[in-house]
Amino acid sequence: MKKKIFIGSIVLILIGIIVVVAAGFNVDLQYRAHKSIIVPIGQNVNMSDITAITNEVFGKGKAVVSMAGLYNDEVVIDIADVNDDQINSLKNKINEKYNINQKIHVPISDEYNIDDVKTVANEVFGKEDSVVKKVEDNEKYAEIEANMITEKDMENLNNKLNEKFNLTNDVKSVSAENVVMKKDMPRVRLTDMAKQYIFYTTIATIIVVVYFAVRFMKLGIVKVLGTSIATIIISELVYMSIIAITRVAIDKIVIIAAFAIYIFALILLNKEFEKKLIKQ
Amino acid sequence: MKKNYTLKLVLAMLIVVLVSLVSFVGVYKGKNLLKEYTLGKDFSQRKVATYSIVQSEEQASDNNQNQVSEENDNATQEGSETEDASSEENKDTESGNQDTQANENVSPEQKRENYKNAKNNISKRLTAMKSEEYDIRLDDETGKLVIEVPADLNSTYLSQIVSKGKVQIKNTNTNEVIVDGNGFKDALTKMDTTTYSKPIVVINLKFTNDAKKKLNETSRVYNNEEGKETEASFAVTLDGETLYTDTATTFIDSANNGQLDLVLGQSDEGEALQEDYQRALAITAIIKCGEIPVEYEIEALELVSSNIKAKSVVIVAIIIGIAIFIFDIIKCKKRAILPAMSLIGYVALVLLVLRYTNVKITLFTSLAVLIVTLLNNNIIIKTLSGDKSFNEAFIKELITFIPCFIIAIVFCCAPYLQLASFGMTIFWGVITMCIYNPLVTRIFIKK
Repeated sequence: MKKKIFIGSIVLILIGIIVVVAAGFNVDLQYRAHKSIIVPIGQNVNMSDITAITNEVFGKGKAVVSMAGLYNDEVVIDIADVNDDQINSLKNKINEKYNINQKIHVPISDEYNIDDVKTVANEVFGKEDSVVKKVEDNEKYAEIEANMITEKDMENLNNKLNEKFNLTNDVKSVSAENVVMKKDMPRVRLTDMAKQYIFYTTIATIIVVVYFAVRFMKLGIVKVLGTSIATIIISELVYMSIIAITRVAIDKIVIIAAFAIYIFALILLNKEFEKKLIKQ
Repeated sequence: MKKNYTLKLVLAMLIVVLVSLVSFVGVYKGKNLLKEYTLGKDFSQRKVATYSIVQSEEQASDNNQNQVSEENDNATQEGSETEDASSEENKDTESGNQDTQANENVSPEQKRENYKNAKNNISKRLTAMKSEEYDIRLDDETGKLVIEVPADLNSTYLSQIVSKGKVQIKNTNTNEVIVDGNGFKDALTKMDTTTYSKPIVVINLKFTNDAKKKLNETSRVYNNEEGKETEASFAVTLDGETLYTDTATTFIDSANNGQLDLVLGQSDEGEALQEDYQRALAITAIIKCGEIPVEYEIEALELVSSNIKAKSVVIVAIIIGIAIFIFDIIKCKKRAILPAMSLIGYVALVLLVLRYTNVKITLFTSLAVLIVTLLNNNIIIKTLSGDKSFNEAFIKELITFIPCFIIAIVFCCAPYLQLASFGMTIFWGVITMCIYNPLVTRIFIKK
């Protein structure tokens, strides 16, 4: 029986190695390179509403939604990839749900016609009658009332205003609070994650194995050491092979399960050695 | 005798109910009087800081022109001419700019290597700063870094952690660099509570032999504007910012001992002292880990909540609890009902202990709670199904768990929160077990 389990494990490990070499591990979205969309809503957010919207826009279960901001008035949506149409659709649906209104301030010049700004705002935000006025304290600035916008909208607005008024303003000069932003999130290397665990796990393993060697000396040091090390390595390799073959995404739960297997393997080994020692 | 046992049983039941109510529901007098759990990054908020490489004026302009040609957009082309203004803000020091320009001339492979080295160095700094939990992401092509740390880490350190780390000892009168980053062998943060009436925070710098020699050979005096010989003053600077100044004599005398103490703050107020200590820790981490080959600036800082819901954890815990209960009933029939129920009291007590011992709750804490609960359950099963007394079974199971205790003790020393929280939970779980089992579980088992 033990021989069969051993051969089965070796076969599983070999298949696992082939899968890893051919396709690598399936790493969870949070640890892969992905896009992160930051949506500043500016009011209390209902997570189930946002999840329903993201399911509609990106497909069910494709995006991971988290609350964000000091007052939990933002959401961060992590997704493998996203295009401009999806961001626009997301923006429109959230605007519809939460009726977000904001005042966008843009620097123009000392003298300008506010109707020209209105024409640009109508064009950019697809409205027939945008509310646009000069800022009271500083008439150099125009104030445009708008819903939540995207970075593209902001860029578009700035470019069109530059064109209209012969300006050279940078997009950063457009002041808006509710802007949907897309960020590239690089991957977390599995080796970097492992670094945090490997050193202390190795030390702990060495101490446990030395304990086994001393405590169960009568069973034969070489045999005890060999069995202990082989059991730990094989159990972990079998587990990782199963993860690779079944394409389960590697996340924290998978890492914790690997730890659980490591600990239970050591406890069972101890139990087994104790039994053998009593028998002897 | 029987009456006595019944009384004990009722008392034990009351203890289980009381502990469970206190731990799971709370003690309310207007608000919950129980101390809140200290949550790790897995269950609370985290800070997500995004850093980008500082671009020189020339490079920023080049990048913009490339963008323009790609997009073939006239409006953007005009905008690129003014882009320089923002890049000018990025220039911190002249030397920093020189380094960045040098970075522009390196090959893409070398750039990737520099980014990797910078990431590894920042990672070491985070560990040296005793940041227990962090994830670090690097875009190999652009050098962009994203660091995720627990929300309680001060945002100031998030800017400081990516600083270039150019440490120098300078003659402030002549601006001559006497010792550069290679002259420091080690750095240590200390809290001195005995020398002065108010505690002080000190950074202890240790010099290399070359640096000692160089300091000894340096003149202690300089000729001032009037041509008079005056004692020079030296300064320790970090990226051009002066951390500490003193007379040349003090510096050189300290160098003879091979070390120099920089006093960074003095206060008898805990909060101020703690802030100085944290600042000193950050500086020490930077000095110890050396310079990074590229210059970073913080681009964005987000506060993001965990998407692991407490409700999901509770549901999983209930499912596991029911599974353990059913297993016990199958294994030991009716006799297992009360002892299995006592496990609820045990878990409640462990959670109470974790609250008051400030153990941070992470996913690894959950694993540790599960392990100690299974250990306790195993003791119950072994006592109920075997001939051994409760004490014998208890000791036997503890011996079986020795490997787990060894792992827990090693993990308690780890600077990483996930491992440390696991170790601490096993430690407190076993201590709680040694108190709870003889007092409560043993009565339910009646053996």
